[in-house]
Amino acid sequence: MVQTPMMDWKAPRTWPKNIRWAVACLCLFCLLASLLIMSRGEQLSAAKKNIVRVSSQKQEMAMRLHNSGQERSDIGRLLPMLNELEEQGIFGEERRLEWVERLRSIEKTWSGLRIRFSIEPQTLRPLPIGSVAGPSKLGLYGSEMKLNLKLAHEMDLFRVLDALAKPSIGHFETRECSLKSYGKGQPLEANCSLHWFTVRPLPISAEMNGKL
Amino acid sequence: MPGNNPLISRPRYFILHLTAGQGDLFSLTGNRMCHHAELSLTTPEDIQPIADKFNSAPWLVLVDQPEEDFWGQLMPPLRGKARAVWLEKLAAKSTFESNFRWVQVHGRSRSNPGKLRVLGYSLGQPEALTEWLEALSAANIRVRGLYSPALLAESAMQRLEIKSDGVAVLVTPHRTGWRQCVMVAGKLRFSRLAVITGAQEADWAATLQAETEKLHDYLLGNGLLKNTSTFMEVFYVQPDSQFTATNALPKQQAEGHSYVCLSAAEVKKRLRLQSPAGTFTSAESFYVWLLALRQPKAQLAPLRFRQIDVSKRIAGALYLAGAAIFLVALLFAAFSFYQIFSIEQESTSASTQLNRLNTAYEREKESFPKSAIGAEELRELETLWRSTVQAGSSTPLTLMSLVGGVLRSHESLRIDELTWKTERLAAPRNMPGMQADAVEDSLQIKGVVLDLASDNLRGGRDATLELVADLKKRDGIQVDIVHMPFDLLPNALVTDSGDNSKNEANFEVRVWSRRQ
Repeated sequence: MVQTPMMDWKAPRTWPKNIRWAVACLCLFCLLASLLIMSRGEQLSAAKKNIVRVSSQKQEMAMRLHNSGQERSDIGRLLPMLNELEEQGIFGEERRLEWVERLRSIEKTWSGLRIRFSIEPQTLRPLPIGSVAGPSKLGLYGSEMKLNLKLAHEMDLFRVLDALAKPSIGHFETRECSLKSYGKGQPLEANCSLHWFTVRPLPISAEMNGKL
Repeated sequence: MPGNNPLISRPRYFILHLTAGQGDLFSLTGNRMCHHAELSLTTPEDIQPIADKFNSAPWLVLVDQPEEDFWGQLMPPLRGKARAVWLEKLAAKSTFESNFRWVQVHGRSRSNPGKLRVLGYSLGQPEALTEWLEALSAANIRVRGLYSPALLAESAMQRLEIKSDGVAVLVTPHRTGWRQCVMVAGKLRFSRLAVITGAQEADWAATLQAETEKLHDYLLGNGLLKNTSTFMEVFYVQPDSQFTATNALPKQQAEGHSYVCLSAAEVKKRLRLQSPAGTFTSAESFYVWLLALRQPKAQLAPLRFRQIDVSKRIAGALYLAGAAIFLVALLFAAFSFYQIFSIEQESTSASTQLNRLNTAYEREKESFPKSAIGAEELRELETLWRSTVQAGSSTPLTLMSLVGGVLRSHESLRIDELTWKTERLAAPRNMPGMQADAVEDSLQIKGVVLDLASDNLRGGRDATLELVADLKKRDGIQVDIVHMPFDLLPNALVTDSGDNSKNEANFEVRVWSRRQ
């Protein structure tokens, strides 16, 4: 007579075939159930997010429509400022070519003046704290510039800085300036560090990042 | 044959009743019992030919044989593994070398309340039983368990609605003798199959009385009854074949055993079972019925004989669990589908409204002055403009021209280097009431005091101090001396080489102003 082998619960290999099949089916059912629940859950979550987004957009749009009169009046009031800032080169892209041209023109204007410069790549600067409430749509961009000047007279330094500060190529801030004398008959040497600021709307991705 | 009989077309159980070395097969369909008397199961080999036809339900094996052993002991109140080991040791104390055994804890002992009463039970002739069980296993039959009438006695008393707080005896005449199950307060204490030969059918009442007396003596002799004045309530299950009006139960004495006869009709009524006429020819069918109705948790077969059934039940439970889990997932999916559907409908409606608002806004926007950026950005630009550009920035001209004006009156000084710097000094954050960021402009003046006589050690200092004093007269600035000529500090080493031509008359002064 053939004796049925004993099964050991701790050793799945000794389990009868039907139990192994049942365990496999249970695992499969669990897997399918998990996938089903996860996929439905994700879809549900996406649908909820979508309705929240659409509702918030709707609310925002309703608010904008409601405030459109104010918006019209604000645009009318602030448009001259925008035009002025555009003319001054503060709003929009950096006008590097104009900057170089202006430096060359300054160099030609005063004899004995020699200017060497370098401009760092432009970067997005943090906005001054409290300047904008909520996520910003505008970016404050800045480039650091180094100037090396050979001057015949110390007043030349102020003339150069004055000429650079004239409108149409942007807003500059002088951060550091040193003036050295190498003795009588020798030209003075000045080294200045300036920051060049411009403002323009943030690209959509940056604006989104700002919001998130 | 089962295939032709609609009553057993879907049986719940098959019951193999083993007695006197041969088997009888019963099947239970619904609450109808059917005895397959046409099958001749005299040896275990007879199982194989019928296995295929009777394999649609689990088999319950009921063994009715006189070879049985009861033993009892008092157990200390143990728990967990110690209790299991103790019970296992007790189970091994049977007089038979049998694997078909069972132990049951009966609660606190009356004589020794600190201990628990344990009853052990085993079946003899294990070889014969093993052969039957192995034949069933070999035929791939699902054996759910091996039972004996003793294991069913408690259930029998409950089913027959017999309540007895004293000593009760349930007597059932079987093919090979009479089964007597002794119960004390509803718990089994002893059972035996008294082998009776002769014409007990004709005079069953006298036989019952005689066998009861024998049992009483036996129980007294073995200490199961404490004294002779303990009398028993005897319940006699009477088969159809004995039902005659001429026989009467023994009359109850003022002191003695009491007898109650339960007719076949009464038993059938109390068990709520249906059976074809003539099935209840012997009272042993009573235990078959009891077993069919409900199987007690305790059974006697080792796991290896029940493995097919156990594995099928486990597999069934696993399939059921899987199906339940999947069903729950489906319900969740259906519910979430409904939710998503509702949300999407809401979303579509909101989108339509948004589009309508958008269109209205765009129409409105057409009347706005033309601008590269929107009103929001313009407002932001205005704020930004005010806080950065319009706030004004520092220029070196202010400090340098101020210092230049002062230096004109100090011709003995030569200026070598002027370094102007502006710094934003952050005010401490998250401290209420603190001032806003401050801007500090500073100008560092490095120079030399000229035309000093070689022995004029104080001239350089005086010239520098004069400069500082003049600078301090100007409003809005602070002056610090960074380096003083001939500054002989107490912690520095001072030596005199005798050469005064290289007197160091360098000075360094820092002028600074701060604004919010």
